[in-house]
Amino acid sequence: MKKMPPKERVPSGYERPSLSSLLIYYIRILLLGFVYMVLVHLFLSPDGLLYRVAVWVWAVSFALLWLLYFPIKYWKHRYKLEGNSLYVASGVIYTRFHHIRLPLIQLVSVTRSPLQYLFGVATLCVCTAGTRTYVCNIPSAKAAMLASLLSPAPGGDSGGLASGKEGDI
Amino acid sequence: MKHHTHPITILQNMGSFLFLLIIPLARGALSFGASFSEWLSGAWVDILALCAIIGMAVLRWYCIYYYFTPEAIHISEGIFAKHTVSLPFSRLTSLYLEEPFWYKPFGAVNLRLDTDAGSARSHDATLTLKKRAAVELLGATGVRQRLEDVSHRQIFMCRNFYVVILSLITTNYFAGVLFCSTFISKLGDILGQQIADVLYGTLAHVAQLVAVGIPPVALFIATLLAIGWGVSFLRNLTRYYNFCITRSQHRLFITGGVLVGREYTVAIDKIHFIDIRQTLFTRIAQFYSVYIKCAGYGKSDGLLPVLIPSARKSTLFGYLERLVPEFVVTPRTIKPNLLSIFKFIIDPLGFLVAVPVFYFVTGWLLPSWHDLISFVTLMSLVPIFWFLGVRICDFCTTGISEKNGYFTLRYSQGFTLHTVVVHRDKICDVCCRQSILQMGDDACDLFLYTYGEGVTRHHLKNLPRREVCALFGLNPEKGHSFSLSHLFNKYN
Repeated sequence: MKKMPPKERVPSGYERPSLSSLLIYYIRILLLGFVYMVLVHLFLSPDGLLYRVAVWVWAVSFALLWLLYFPIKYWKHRYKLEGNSLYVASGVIYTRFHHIRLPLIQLVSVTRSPLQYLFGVATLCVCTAGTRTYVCNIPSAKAAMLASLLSPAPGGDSGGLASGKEGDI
Repeated sequence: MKHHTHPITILQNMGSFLFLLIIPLARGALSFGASFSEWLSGAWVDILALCAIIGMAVLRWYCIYYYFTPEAIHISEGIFAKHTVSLPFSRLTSLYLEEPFWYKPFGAVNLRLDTDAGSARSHDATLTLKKRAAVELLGATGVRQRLEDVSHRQIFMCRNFYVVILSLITTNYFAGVLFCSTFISKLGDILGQQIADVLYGTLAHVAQLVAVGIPPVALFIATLLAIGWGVSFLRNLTRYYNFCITRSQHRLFITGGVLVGREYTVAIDKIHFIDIRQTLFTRIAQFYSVYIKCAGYGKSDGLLPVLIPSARKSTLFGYLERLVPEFVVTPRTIKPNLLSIFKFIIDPLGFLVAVPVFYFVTGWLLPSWHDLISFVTLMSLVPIFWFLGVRICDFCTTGISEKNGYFTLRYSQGFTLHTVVVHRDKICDVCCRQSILQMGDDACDLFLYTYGEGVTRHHLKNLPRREVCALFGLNPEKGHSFSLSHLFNKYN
């Protein structure tokens, strides 16, 4: 029986976000956990049943997020710029594949939170007339480069307020 | 080169940090009853809070900057979380230059930019600039020309009488306020009597007070509603006063407003569709209002995306030909058959049947409230008959036609009659739905979806299915699924 070659784990050409995105997710969940435990400790009695339930719920959620959700989220989030299109895949439970044609892109934006500043990454947001797609936690320089690449060039099928500039308005 | 916004933005930013005023307010509340010297000893906290508000506002202003290239404008903002948005000029659908009178001493204007993407509720980018800087920015990038330099222009100046008509039509609660005022005033009289009859037996002095107090309260609420409508009417009037449109080859320049000077620049090829609207009242009076759907126009401050505030039929098409000659209104070629009138009036008839049922059931359950129930029943008939009138007009006018790739749709939505002219390129989805009842005369409901910062749905009722299939180039013998490729292949 012929041996089938193993399937590629990541379709070719796709890139993943920076590994520091996983660290960012972990730091966020730790901060959230800290606030949660402070509130639980303030409002619930340590001897009561509700306190124990709150602690166990958090412990289980934390473990699931830490060990399963965020690693899968990092692993499945990828993007590729090929030809005239941007492909983005993301999602944990439901996997979403976005195919965005470059001529349909209306505007792009780059956002950096304080944590992203610390790790030198940024989030790229690509907007078309009907949707908005995010590529999270990619290196800042790459985000800026992609933003300039994805911004529509003048001329061609553009139109809009920039059409007919000199004496032809 | 980076540019900052007008320093007046600092005052706008302070609004975001006013929550810090809770510190001096709390301190004032806690020290209530204490001596002045005690209060003064902690005043440094108040001063610190105030300094924090001003400092954060200044810092936020400093962190907002913009720069532009020949292709796009780039705007960066945010103190801790930096957000940079790039708006290509080729993608701009509209720009809005707003000059409130309270900005005039500072020489500031609001510049709002929009594309087909982004939120349908807020502009994609808003900058408060010095007027000179705004005009320089837009002129240097060729996006906006001085109106005096526009060649081959058509100008439409709306008489203010028609602006008054528009304000009357579009002011919120126009008919509803009149209706509610009458309703509440009469209801107060009835409730007073009802409560007096019921409560006199059990409660003494308090019941009397309530029964006596309600009619004046109802009158007060009715007066308040009428005043609210009056304020809304005046507000609309000042927004559209001196309404003027200049049409150049590729753009529309729309100006107007009294207290706040407004200037819109709209790209013609970014207009998704035009919408000629009538209510039953304006249909009887033979007035038409024309709106356009374009990302950014009519988005802020409750403004309506008006093209022609109001016009008579004799002049309307002349104006449309001058302003938007691309959008040609054609007579309907596909329309419902005569027997399908029932489909149009079934909804208001349903309400008409429900009202007497409501009257008899509630009258049987609550016999002591007979007067109130009679009054409510009678008043509820007014909007139902109005709705019936709209639906009958809808039946007489509903239809669809096509010429040179432009579809003219006629339908009603709520209490408004619409005539929409849209190009096939702006249609993102077509759906045909046939219910069991429609199978008898092979009719269908047609749903057309047009795109542009959210999807707009146009619902045409009870059209002949075969003719609709022929219009969109589909085989009527097959299923009812449409695809855009069929639509485009027909014209390519």
